[in-house]
Amino acid sequence: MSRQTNRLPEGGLVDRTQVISFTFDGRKFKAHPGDTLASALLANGIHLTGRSFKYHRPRGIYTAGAEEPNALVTLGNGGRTEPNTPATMVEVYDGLKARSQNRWPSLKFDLLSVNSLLKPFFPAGFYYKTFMWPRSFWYRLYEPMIRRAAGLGTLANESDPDRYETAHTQCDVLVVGAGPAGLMATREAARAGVNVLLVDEQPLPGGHLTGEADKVDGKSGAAWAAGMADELRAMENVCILSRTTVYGRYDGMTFGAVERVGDHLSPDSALPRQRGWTIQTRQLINAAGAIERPLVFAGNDRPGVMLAGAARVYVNRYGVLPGRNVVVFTNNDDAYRTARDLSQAGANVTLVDSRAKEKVHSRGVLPASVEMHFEQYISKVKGRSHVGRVTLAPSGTEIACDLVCVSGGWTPSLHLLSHVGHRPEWDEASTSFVMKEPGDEARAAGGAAATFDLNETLREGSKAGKAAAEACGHGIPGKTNLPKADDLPAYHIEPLWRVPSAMSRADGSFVDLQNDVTVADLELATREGFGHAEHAKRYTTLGMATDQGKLANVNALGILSQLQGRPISETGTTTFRPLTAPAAFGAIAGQARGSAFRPIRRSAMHLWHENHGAVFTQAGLWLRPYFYPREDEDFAAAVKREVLAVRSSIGMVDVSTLGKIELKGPDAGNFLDRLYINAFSKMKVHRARYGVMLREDGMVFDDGTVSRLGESHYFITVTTANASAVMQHMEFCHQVHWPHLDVQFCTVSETWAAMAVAGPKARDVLARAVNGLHLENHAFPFMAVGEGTIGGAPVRVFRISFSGELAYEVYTPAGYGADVWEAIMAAGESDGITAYGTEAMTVMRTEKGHVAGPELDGRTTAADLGLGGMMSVRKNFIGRWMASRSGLEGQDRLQLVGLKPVRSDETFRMGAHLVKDIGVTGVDVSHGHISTSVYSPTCDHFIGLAMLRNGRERHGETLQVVSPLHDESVSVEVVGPVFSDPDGEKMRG
Amino acid sequence: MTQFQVILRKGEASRSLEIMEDDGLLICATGPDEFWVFSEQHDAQGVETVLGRMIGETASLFDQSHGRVVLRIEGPRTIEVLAKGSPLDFDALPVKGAAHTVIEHIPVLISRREAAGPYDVSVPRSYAASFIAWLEEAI
Repeated sequence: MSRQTNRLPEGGLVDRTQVISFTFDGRKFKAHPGDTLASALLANGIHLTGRSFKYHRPRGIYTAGAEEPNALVTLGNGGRTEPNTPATMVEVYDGLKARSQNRWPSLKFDLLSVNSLLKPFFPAGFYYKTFMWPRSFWYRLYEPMIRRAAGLGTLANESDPDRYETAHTQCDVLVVGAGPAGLMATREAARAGVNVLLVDEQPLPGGHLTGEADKVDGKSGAAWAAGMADELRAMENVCILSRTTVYGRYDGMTFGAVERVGDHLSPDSALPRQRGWTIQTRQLINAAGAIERPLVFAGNDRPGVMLAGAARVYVNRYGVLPGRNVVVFTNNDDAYRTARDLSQAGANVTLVDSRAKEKVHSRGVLPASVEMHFEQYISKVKGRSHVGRVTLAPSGTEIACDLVCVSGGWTPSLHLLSHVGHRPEWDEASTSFVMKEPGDEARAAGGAAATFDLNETLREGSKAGKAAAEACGHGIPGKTNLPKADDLPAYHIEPLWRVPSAMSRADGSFVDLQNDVTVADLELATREGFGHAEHAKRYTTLGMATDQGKLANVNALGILSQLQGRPISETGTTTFRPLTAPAAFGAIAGQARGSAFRPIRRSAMHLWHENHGAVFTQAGLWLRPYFYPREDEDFAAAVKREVLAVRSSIGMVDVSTLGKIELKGPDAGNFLDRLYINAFSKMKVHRARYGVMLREDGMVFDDGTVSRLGESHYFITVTTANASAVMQHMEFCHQVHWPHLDVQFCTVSETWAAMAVAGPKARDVLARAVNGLHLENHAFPFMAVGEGTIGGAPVRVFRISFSGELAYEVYTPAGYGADVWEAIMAAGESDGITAYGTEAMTVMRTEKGHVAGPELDGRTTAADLGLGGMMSVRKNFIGRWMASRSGLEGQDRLQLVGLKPVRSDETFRMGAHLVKDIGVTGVDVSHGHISTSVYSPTCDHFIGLAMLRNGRERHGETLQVVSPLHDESVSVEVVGPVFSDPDGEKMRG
Repeated sequence: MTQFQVILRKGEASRSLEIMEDDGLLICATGPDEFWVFSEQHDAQGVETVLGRMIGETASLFDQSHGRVVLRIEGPRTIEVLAKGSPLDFDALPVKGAAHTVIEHIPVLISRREAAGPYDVSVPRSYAASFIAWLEEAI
């Protein structure tokens, strides 16, 4: 492990009392707590950190922030692999392991860098134009090959072992950015009494102040910011989230953010790795600062070329000198501070300014040792894996150097102001896009508002804080104390989108470093008619990938406007969309992963089912017993046994998942009459009836039973799948259509456990279990409703049959569900009572010809299902008129029929089609399809329900069932849909 | 805990139910014309009697006691934990008030007993095991 060659003897905010170690590409290096991976690598003299996306050119650390385009590394191993992480955002901890990306076999010697030599042949659009024929090769060969060669890091296939969580919070004012503007805004808004949430992506407050040498109130910027943050933390109505990136703004002032809770700690930490925040606020103050723009010249992507602002952050914040012989190339005054700070840190600095000498304000800040060149440009860079020399034009001067700092001006971070549709406008004075009309709920301050003077920024932040508080209805008491920062010469800039073409080669001048887009690519895009900002982005990929054009966009727009000879304000800008910065899926999913991806609903009898070997099936969120296999039984054997037990003796099934709704009020019956096709207001108390609901368009919506428990008290059941949809439908109808009806209703699905007891012995068994209710046929006939107790628990008993057997549905408050279930089981033991699952239930309802989900598929009318006779003509109900449209009544409708195989050992499957002749093909040969098919133990052959064209007239006809996907065809006979007890003697007896 | 869903009859919308803690009930407004009544002291019949005395025939009562499991959560981190799942603004939840919200896709009703908590989370019975699994990880 070597010495930190580029660490300055003093200065910076790193903790020099501790030395920690990390590895990069397997090599071990030293660092201090407070370093980022980027600052630590630079401290060790490492600039080369990656290979570029397309040409595999060597690339180095370019920025000191989240916008880093080049130094993307992969962290961790196995399931923890995290590719494409900007080294500038990785806080070094002891034992950190990082790897470079997109290189093979090694970073220094990358075989695919041959692409770089072939660059003239690989312009934008090259792949699409070249690899066109043969067409089939694109998916199989060309695209996989190109994808392997291009790209960034590689994802792991293992699942991520780390823990993530989500969190929600609310505030009156959200301040994004804890720089000077954000801190002042937070303080002023908080003084007015509103709740403020201050969010910042860095571990330390202060924003760019942490990287500046200039003072505020006589203190270093970092010390002033730390003091402010302490003051804010002591306020009850302020919350500060650091290491948190706000990635998007959504409708209704909702924001998404990711907090890096444990990323800076070893993976063994007990903390979650990241936390995904959903923030609800009333006001936004965007104090997210500004991002420096590159300058575009040939060789501007070489390792050792770096943004000027970043270079002074490395000096001032990290105590690292990224180069000793430095050329600073700028078109604005800000970079003079870099020249000053690097020179004071001991570097030999040469300043190259594209502007005329008299336009520059900041010459005075430079020490005498800094040599200055005005109206000069860098035209050439020498040094492949690190800069060694630059050539100036037009003078031709050559300067040996190991660091080139560039500044093309500053771009305000407008993303959060633009995400919900506000468009930024071009501002000539600051040569940047600004948000002049951000709306009433948002404002910007500081760099994000293109304000680059520190005192002005402090004032603007304070003003924004006050304004936001006022917008929340809070005035500010007392006077504001504005801090005083060191005065600096005013910021001046003269646009320089690229070094003039006569002086610098277009194909080596990179506009977008991350996507390897050069000036030549933009020229090509313009020539081929893709010169509009949105077209050029798609044509060249400029502004895509992780940095989303934060660095490249404005220069690209400037170049496009020059190429088209019109002002940049007319070239337009691309649209800002979330996410502003990459966010891990884990932080968005939180705990909702694996088996917790969605909740599971269990009935009150779930434990009994588990203890009795039930195999469960999912019905929506519910787990329901599918069948209960006994030793050596397979699915078919278990289902057959369960069905035969019910048909010959008695069985019981858990139907707690049915939707249950209770209605009260004098208009309850009237309300139900309007919802269902049949009438209930005149039904007697203690009676139940099957009911069908239609949608507005006349199709069947749901079915179930309606019971009348009292004069103005009804209880309805709806299908498990539609439980909430029916409730919503009822709420809507009541609130919108018929608010005058005096009816109150709510879901009681959870409140009642339910079980169906079915089979010839059902009455005898239930009579042994229930008290206070006579079950004899005359006292409690088919469709009767009564109340009693079982084992002391109150029960409601409904004589309803889905299976077609003599059957009762028993409802009890859910807390008694398991007890009542066991009591009935005990009472039925001598008769061999058998628990059955949903499959046996399906088999029996099919045998009985009862329709269910597969038949109620949203395309069937009541008449199609043979239920047309239920439709009342004496009242209005939802769907009545639409159901009488001629198209829904014609002869060619698909109607419910039964099917049985001509040869009793043959089978058929759901979804198969019914045709007359399997030899005829075409679009109109299908006469219908099978909706349900099961093996019927009662018939001892397969049976099916089908929707058949004009089916009710075709009983007795032989048709072919075909399933071309499975290469199957079987002869079937069309029969009535009821296979078991067609006269209903069993269930009524 | 005994829980009733109380829905006001047609035309009774303006009526507000007084908090009658003396009678052993906590009555929370949970929606237009809708209240939720909690009682640890009374069984269902008891609640019906007290409510009947208070409001007569002006509302329909639905006993939901068996349909919901109530988890009482207290301690300084209560809101921090609940906010991992719920978008509710807990500061805005009045003392002796309740609000419907969703935690990890589970519809829950959260009521605040005192200013400093505890918070009672009323969870539909079928979701209870899933909710507890979520809570254990969130804590």
